[in-house]
Amino acid sequence: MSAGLFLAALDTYVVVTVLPRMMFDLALPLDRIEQATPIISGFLVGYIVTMPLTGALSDVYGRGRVYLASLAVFAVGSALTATAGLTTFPSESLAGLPWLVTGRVLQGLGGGALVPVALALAADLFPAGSRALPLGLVAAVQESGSVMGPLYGAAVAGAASGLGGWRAIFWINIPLTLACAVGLAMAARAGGSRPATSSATATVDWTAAGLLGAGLALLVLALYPDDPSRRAVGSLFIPLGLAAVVALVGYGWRQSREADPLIPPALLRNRTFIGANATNLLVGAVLIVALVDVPIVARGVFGLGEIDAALLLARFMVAIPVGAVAGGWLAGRIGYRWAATLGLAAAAVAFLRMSGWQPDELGRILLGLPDATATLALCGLGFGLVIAPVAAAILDRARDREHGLASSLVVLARSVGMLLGLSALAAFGIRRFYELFNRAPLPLGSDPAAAAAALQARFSSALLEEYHEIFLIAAGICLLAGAVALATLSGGGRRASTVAAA
Amino acid sequence: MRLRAGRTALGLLPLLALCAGVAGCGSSESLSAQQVLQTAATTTANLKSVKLDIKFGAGFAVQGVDLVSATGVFRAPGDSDLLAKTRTVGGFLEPELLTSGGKIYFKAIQFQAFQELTPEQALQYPDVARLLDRDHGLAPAIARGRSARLDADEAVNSVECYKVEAAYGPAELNQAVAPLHLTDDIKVTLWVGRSDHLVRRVRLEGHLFTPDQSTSAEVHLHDFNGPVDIPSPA
Repeated sequence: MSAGLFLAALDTYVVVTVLPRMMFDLALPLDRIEQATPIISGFLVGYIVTMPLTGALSDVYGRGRVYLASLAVFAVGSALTATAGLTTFPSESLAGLPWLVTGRVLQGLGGGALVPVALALAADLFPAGSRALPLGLVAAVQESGSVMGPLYGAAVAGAASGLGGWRAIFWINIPLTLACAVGLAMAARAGGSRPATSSATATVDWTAAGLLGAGLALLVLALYPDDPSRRAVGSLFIPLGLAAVVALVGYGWRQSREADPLIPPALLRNRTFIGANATNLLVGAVLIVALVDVPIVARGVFGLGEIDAALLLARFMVAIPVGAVAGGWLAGRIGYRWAATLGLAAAAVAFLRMSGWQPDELGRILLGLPDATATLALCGLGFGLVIAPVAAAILDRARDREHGLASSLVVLARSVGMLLGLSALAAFGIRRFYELFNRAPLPLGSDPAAAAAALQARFSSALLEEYHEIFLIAAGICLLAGAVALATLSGGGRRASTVAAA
Repeated sequence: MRLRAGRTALGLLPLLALCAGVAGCGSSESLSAQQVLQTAATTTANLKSVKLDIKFGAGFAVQGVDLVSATGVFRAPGDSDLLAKTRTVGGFLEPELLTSGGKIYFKAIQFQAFQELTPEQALQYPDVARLLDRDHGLAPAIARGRSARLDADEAVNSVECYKVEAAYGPAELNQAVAPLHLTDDIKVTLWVGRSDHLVRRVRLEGHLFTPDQSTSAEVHLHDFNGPVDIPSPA
């Protein structure tokens, strides 16, 4: 069960380090980078939409069936992604990027579905009072899968460079999902555990799922910069944005009228619950900045290759689980709010340092360590420190029977933050790069080599300046998230397994 | 006798009508290859606007840059927007050449804003804006095809077309269809609509750029005389 979840989580950000190669193979121009953002956001949209839905779906049809169906959808999405651009079916224009994004959306739908089902299955298998650890482990599996994805992707693509490169990342998923499915079936039979039974009275609110999915998709489309030379957002930003608001408000309204809404009203009135989710949302937005932008800076400014860029990001990624363990321990000593605030302060300091990076950054030494390594490790450590106290604060406010839901919400809030952060990054970041790139005319000489060199120099300097600004904003968002955590989180400092919602 | 003559004449009427019909069909089907080129040239000279998509064959390079494809929008007499896709070691880029109000603008990559070219700088770039020029553009060039011959008709986008092959050389094309710098003849195949004589598809094969490498390009023309949106360079 956890293996399938881990596999799906790996694929969330697996593409960030191999994106340039994917763009090359699909003949996507590098100077239209906005066209590539749906490769990441498509997965996130599918991931987010399916999460609130499949918990209830598994109540109706049984955990095992829904879990296996989710694995199948994930596998089909993986196959589509792996084959993008290889044929001209159904047409040359559709066989490239649209085919790839469809595959990624399906991967997200299947992968996101595994989270609530795995949590619900854990709740089924373990009695009340002893569910915190298995639920925590499931959440930890999901977290570690996401953070390891970029390095995993670069390693697999590099190792399989003669066998399709990045396509191998997705081909591998097919036998692995099959193995997970067989393993689940065998484990269920051998363990003699209660079979997941369906409930005749549970219902699935397809309308709500449709509203949520439509709202998020419309929001992503509204922010999509179709012409960065003229504007930061899409030409249909206002109508699409309004439609997104209507759909999302409709979702919220529908939930408020449900007899058994996704989020119990008592939780929605709890300051710690709301604050923890808001903190998580902001953490998600800055986490995507690090995940996406560090490889871009590594390649565009520092001139690193694919593997070296992934290894630079690894300094950040490896520190996250270390921070997560430390954060759990610290939260038990000094409380959730101080542990989370400390983590966000550390991340803010790291982003502040990154906002001053120079092209020769990789050669600088700080206290005997390479400066960039120390900074990225501090950033990852900071993010790690936040994970446990925020998750624990949410779980503490939920009743035992709501632990699965609460764990889903931890992942959901951060994923929504990442989606919004990525959309904003694409919209305003690319527009800002355009402005910086064109502050002065480029020389148009007769020597192509000189012109190319001038172009490259302008590109690198504009990219560096843009990321100085982005990392500075990220530092500000970390401080904001820290302020929210400080003001709203309570609890911790002692072990608390179940606390009734206020 | 008169009655028999009248009946004979009446009896011959269907035969006469049939011959007239055959003659009529023969007059529309009997266009020679050169006539097809001439009518295509006349129609092209009257175009107010057109859009085209180009696919370049392997080895098609300009100033050392591999060209993959291009899309173009043209409005008579001299406005145009040509967006090319080029392949470099690191990936694909899209330079763009814009002609508007008698001025030429260029951007090497899409991140760059349009820069106006001086007349000296403009000489280094393809002069594609006069594609629809009646006197110096595509129209007179089409009519100058040599050794033209008709092949079997083919449909292009469900439109029945004459398929004409002809030879063109430096004298016919170099001034009309930049950036070609032909040094010898190339083979050009044109698909010309049977009913409207619009050139819908063109394939060029031969030494299009350099004497030592043979390559090809295929052009699809569409949206004839339709509304055209050429972006402002600002």
